[in-house]
Amino acid sequence: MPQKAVCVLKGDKVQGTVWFNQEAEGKPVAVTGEIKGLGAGLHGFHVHEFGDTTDGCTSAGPHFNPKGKTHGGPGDAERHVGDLGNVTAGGDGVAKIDVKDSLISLFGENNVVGRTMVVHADPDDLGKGGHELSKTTGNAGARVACGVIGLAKA
Amino acid sequence: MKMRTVAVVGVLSALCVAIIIAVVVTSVSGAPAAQTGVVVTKAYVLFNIGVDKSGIVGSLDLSQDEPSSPVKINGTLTGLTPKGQHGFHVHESGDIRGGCASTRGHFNPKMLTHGAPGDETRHVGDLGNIMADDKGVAVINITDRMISLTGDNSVLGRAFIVHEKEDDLGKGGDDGSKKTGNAGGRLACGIIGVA
Repeated sequence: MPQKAVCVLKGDKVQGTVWFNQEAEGKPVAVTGEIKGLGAGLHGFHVHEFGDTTDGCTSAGPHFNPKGKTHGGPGDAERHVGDLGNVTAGGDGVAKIDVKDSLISLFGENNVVGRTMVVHADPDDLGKGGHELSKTTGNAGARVACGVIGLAKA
Repeated sequence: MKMRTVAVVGVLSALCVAIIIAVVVTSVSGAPAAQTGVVVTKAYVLFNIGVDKSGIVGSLDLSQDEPSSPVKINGTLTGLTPKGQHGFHVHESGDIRGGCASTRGHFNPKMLTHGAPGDETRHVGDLGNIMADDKGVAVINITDRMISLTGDNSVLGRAFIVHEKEDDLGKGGDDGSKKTGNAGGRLACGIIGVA
C-alpha cells in the first residue's frame, strides 16, 4: 500500500514544501520539493524527533535517531534515521529537492510521520568536520525553518 | 486404552505445533510498529494554523499506555465563542498547504456515517464537541477508545480541527448531519505530532 506525506516548512524568511512518497513498506522514500528564501549554498536537512513546534523549531528536539547512532551522511551505515544530508540553494535562494532515502519510512519504527522536518542555516558536515558538534548535529547551525510532517492522500 | 492414549498424545502434539506456528507467525508478521519498534505513546497538537483569523490558541496532549488502551486527550483552548459548543474532530490528512481547509474530511477509514463519540457507528475522528466557558476557554479532558497512536486507527500526522459550530452528532435529521454534524467552518487546526 503506497503512503504519502507532506510537510509545510515555515521560518522567518524561509518557506517550503517537502513531499514524501513511498510505494510500499520496505521501499525507499522519494523526498521531493522546494525551499525558498535560503542563503546560497548547502543547508543541513534533517527529520527531528518530535512533532512539536511550540517554541519554534527548537521544540522539535534532536535528529530522529531511534537506534542511538552517531550523526552521519545519508549514504553512511552509521547515521541517524533523520540524517538527510544537505539541500543546495542557488543564487536565487531556492533549493530543489529530489532524493531517495532507504532508511526513513512512512511505516513502522523509522516512520517520520508526525515528526518535524528542519532546514538549517549552515551546511551539515555529515559527521566529518572534526568539530565537537560534527558527531551529533553535523554542526549545521540554527534552525531556519521547520514543519510537522503530515499524512497526505496517497 | 492404548489407542486412546495415542489419540490424546496425537491431539496434544498437534495443538503444540499449532501454538508454536501461531507464535512464530505472529512475531514475524504481526503489527510491525506496535511489536518490533518504538511504540509511540505520547502525541502533541499545537493549534497554530488558522489562528490569525480565529484568535484561537491552545494545545493538546495525547497519551496511550499501550496500543490497545484508550487515548487520553488533555488540553486547553482559548479564544472560542463564549458559552459555545464547537465540533472537535480528527481529519484525515495533515496536509496544511491550504490551511485547515486542505486536511480533507473527518478521519473515517471504515467509511461509516458520522456520529457521536459514544456511538458504534461513527468516524474514527468523531470526538463530538468541546464546550467553551463564559470567557471562551475550553478545558479538554476526553478519553476515547476508537482513536489510537498506532495501527489502522492511528491519528499521528493527521489534523485536529476546532469547528465554528456545534456538531449535532449525526442526529440533525439532514444529509449534512450524517457527514459532518453540520459543525460549520474550520476555525483552527494543528497536526498531531509525536511527543
